[in-house]
Amino acid sequence: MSTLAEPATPYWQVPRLRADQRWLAGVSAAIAAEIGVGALWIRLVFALLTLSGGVGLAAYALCWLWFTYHARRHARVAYVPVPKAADPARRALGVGLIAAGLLALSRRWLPSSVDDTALWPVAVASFGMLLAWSSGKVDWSAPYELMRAAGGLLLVAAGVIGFIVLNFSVGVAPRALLIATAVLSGVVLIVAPWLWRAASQVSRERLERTRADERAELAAHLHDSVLQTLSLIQRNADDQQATIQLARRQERELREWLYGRSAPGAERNLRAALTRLGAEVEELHGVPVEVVVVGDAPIDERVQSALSAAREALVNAARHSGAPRVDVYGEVEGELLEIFVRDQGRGFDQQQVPEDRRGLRESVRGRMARAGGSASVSSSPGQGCEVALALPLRGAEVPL
Amino acid sequence: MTRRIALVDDHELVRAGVRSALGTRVEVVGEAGDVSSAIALIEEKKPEVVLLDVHLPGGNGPAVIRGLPDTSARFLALSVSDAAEDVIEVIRAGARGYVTKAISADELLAAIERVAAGDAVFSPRLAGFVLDAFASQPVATVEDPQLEQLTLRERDVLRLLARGYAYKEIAARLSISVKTVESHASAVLRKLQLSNRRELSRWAAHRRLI
Repeated sequence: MSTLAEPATPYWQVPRLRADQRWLAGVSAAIAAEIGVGALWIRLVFALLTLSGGVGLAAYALCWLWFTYHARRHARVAYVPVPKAADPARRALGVGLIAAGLLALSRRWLPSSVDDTALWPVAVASFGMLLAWSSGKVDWSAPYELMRAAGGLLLVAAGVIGFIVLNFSVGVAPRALLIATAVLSGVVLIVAPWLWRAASQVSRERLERTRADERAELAAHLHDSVLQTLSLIQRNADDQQATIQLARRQERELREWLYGRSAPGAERNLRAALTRLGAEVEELHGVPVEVVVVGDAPIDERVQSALSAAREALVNAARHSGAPRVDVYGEVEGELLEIFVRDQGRGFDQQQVPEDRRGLRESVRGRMARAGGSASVSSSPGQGCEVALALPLRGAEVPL
Repeated sequence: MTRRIALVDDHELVRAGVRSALGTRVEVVGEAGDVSSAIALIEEKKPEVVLLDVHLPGGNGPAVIRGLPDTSARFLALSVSDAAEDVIEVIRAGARGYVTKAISADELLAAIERVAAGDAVFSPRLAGFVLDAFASQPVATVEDPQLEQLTLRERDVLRLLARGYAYKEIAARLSISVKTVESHASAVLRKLQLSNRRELSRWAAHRRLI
């Protein structure tokens, strides 16, 4: 058993309430989990303690408050219950012994003058009070919380009335009830407006806090991105190329952030991948790349080949053409994917292609051919260059 | 002949940048930074071409165009790359074209000339938007300007525009005159402005991508 426990884990932790296993509030289940016994045993102990003078109820309420408070303060600390003792039998034995001791003590602790007639109502009332308190915020949209608050108040009333009835003559009860009701109504009348104002102030403050948080997040993002870029631009003002590149990259990033295009899995579509490709090459080679995509298709192995070929063509254009801009146009129409990479740079004579560029072209062509598509390059000196890639898809178009 | 233009953009730096890029090749008659001052400026100075930002304080680009139903000024949307529906919206309001701010000064000058002459200006991005917008509709088999679909020829022209070709290059490639290319572009623009609003917004809502 002890091998499971990490050294850093304290031997005794404050149990966490477990909403999924609760009967009442989950206190018993929480303690049971911490010790490592069945929740039923702990429930039994609480029941026995309650029967012996109502101490169990008060203890339960106290534990509840304690656990709730602790969990709120340490919400970020992961809680992993560590079973105590070597085996379940010993745990059960330990719980039994503790319970027996508490039971025996519960009678001795109390002064002899305090008997059941005083203790029980007080226990019930205090339990009700804690119940009402622990319901926390009064939220009209949470019926469970409301029920808890109402139930708590009811228990308090029952405890008070019980105390009166049990300790004074029965005849006093109706009048006592009347007096109690009158006093309570008075208190409610006095306190209600103040409570109402406090509640509305709390909700207003929460709204303002939310707004402030949003503003802070926005400010943080702008600071990390836009402001940084602006200061970089100021420093690189002499280098036009660097300035343009910085601005373009920032523009793209900001747009992505604003329009939320970086959804997870978006890269599995041609549109996102091609746009991303353009951004990459632009950043790498400092030449603006204008990407336009019409239609969309999911990326499979063959589409990936086409994308790789397009990347080769794009890098080639960015590196060698000397053009101020490269246009990339991707289109999925019916079952045909086409990608065009075009620059208006110096172009070249296709009969006299330098060795390195022919290699590149072969890799573009070869890739497309292996994927079952085709590639063509058209260029002449002074006329720029266009690489056209075509790939038949097998009914893979994404419906619009 | 230098064209008289107005700059409408809420960023002074952008206006200054455009102004210095165009230099003395145009006459800038005024600048405005929001919708109401833009409308006042255009009414007073009557420029030939208005370079209009898509996003403006006080109602965006389309609000400026709609606020001037009788103006003789022609509008060219000039903006950073925006969401498709915003761009389509300003075209539908009556702008004669859309270019991104990445455009070179020479290209921008050519675009201003073209818009001043009453023609349409398609940047590759706008051509892509339009192709996407009409993608769900069948291609018209007859040349009918009233139809809301693109003809085959218009589609060819748009695709070449999206690939980054200039009007002159398109004319050479399709073996037609530049005038014919221009009329195709204008026809596409008209169709975009007249086409079924619901269809387009459905499309735009579907893909808020560049």
